[in-house]
Amino acid sequence: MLENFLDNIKAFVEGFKNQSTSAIELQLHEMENSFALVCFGSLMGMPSPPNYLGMALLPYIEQEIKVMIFKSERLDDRLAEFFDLSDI
Amino acid sequence: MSSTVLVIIGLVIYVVFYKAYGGFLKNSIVGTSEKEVPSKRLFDNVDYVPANKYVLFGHHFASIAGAAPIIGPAIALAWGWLPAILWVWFGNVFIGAVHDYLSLMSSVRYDGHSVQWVAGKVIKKRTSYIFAWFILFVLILVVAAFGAVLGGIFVKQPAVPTAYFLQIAFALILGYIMYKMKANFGISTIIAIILLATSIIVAKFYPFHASYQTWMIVFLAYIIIAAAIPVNILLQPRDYMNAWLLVFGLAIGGVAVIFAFKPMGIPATTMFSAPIIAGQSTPFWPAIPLIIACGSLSGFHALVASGTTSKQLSSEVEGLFIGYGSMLTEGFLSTLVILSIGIAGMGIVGADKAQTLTANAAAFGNHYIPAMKSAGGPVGIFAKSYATVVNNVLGIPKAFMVILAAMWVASFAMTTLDTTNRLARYTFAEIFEPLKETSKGMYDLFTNKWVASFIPAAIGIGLAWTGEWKVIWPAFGAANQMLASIALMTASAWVMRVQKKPSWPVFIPAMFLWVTVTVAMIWYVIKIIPIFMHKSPVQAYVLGAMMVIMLLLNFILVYDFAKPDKDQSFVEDNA
Repeated sequence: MLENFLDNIKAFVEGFKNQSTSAIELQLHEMENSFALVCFGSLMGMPSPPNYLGMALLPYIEQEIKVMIFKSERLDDRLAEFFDLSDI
Repeated sequence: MSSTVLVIIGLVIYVVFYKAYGGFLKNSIVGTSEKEVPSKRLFDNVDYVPANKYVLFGHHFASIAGAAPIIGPAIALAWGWLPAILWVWFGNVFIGAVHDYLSLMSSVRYDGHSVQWVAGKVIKKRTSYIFAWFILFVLILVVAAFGAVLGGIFVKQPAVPTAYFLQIAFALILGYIMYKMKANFGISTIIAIILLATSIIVAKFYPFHASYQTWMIVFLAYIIIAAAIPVNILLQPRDYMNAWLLVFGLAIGGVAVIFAFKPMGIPATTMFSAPIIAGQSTPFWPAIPLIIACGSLSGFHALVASGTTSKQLSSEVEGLFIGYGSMLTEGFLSTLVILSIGIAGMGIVGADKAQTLTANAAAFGNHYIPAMKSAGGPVGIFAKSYATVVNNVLGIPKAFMVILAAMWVASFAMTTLDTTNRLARYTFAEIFEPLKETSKGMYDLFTNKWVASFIPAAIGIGLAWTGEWKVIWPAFGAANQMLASIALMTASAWVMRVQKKPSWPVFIPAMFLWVTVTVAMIWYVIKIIPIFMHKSPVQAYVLGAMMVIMLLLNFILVYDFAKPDKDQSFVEDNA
């Protein structure tokens, strides 16, 4: 029981850690979005020069493309995600 | 009454209501859905990831806990400790925690969409715009209110700015150790704690004196510069140190107040209309939600709950623990604030002032706010009282604890100030969306990173310039509570129209809050703004205009709530 309690406290502190890294995660996701756009801009009709690079990367990046398309459907509703950083 | 008894009563109320009322909400209002939670159904390993419930609780609590649950109760003590603590306890269990829990769960049922988006679906599209306008007003007023309160404590306690700016410098070092040297979590934590303690000890010997107006200029520059610095360099390590400040503050304070066994040194009740806002008779009802905001209920929490938390909830059953439970924990923080000042506050205002204050209940009500002002405002009185209680029970040096407590509040307030401009940018994009078609140039101007940062920061600091936190704080409270009222109406519409369950546990608090805050805002505009006008006309016009716009939006909101869009097809699909 004590071990269980200590694990829960540890998880709680882990949550604090996650909260303070959420800003950095957000920035990483934005960088990933930009990267995906550079590589696969042609998927959405944006002329993007290194098509051959995108094609070479395509098999490895299937999941990222799915995430990108899914996220693009929710782009009108991102405000609340940013409030996670506000600490009020 | 002994503070120890009060802490125990508070804990019992929270546990009983969590089990009984929370359980009732979970079983009878929210119910269960056949669909899997979004974190599993829409798993993408980026935003939608199921999290351990304790990890998510820690994350959610760290996001909703800030400086406001400390500042509000410290001011509200002018009505006496009993009304303040009752509002914290019962506002919490019947309104605040219900609001957080229902916002979280309605978001979970709508694929992790924000409460603002859900409002657009279950009430009217324009409700979503009204939401965005209220968010903008809260952002401006939060800069003003936190700026004014922080300026006060920086002037009265010159060690606090030294400690804070040292913390920033140390955060840069910590960031370097964490990211460039790749130190592990344990070592980084030990270093973070040592750096925090060092900043407090150094600050004790090297205070930093500057005038209130100088601090306002520093804050404005800080807010704008913070937007330009990459988050991993400053904000992330700083937030990590803040989280530890919160854990230590809560743990040490909790233990100290429980084992203090001290009687409350201030009257339980003073008078119904104590002079609080701008020195005017301020009636407990309807003004209380304007003073105690986040400790009891806060509209910002709906956004936090429906932002990240709803996408990471791994089971609907855990929603109660995270949504309802973390709000009760924040209420417990406010309870500690009330009790700390209650048992030690009179020992720190000076013997002559304490004598005047404790003469009788009416004298306390009349003279508490000026006495608090001379002690450094709400942060000052809390920090000194808290330090005294901790010193008495645990023997930790008082001077160290005063700086730690003041830094605790200051760090959270500063975090809020610098995230505000990031948030403003996204809010502007939302509000000026209609301009995108008609005037692309204007849209680009308002959503420009620097313009969107500068406008709320400049208006906020401009309002704080007068140093009248007593006038500005209730305006922030009003905007924040109106946001809560929209979130509650949204939850109520969801329960009525989609869940088709009895909606009174949400509808009654929503209407109570709407009526209370509307009456309070009308009172504020009629009574307080004209007085502010004599002192600082420019600020009074800006504040008055914001309050009047909010009032108008408020009436549109309740009209829309009563007459929602006829087309409910989307609602039915998601039921």
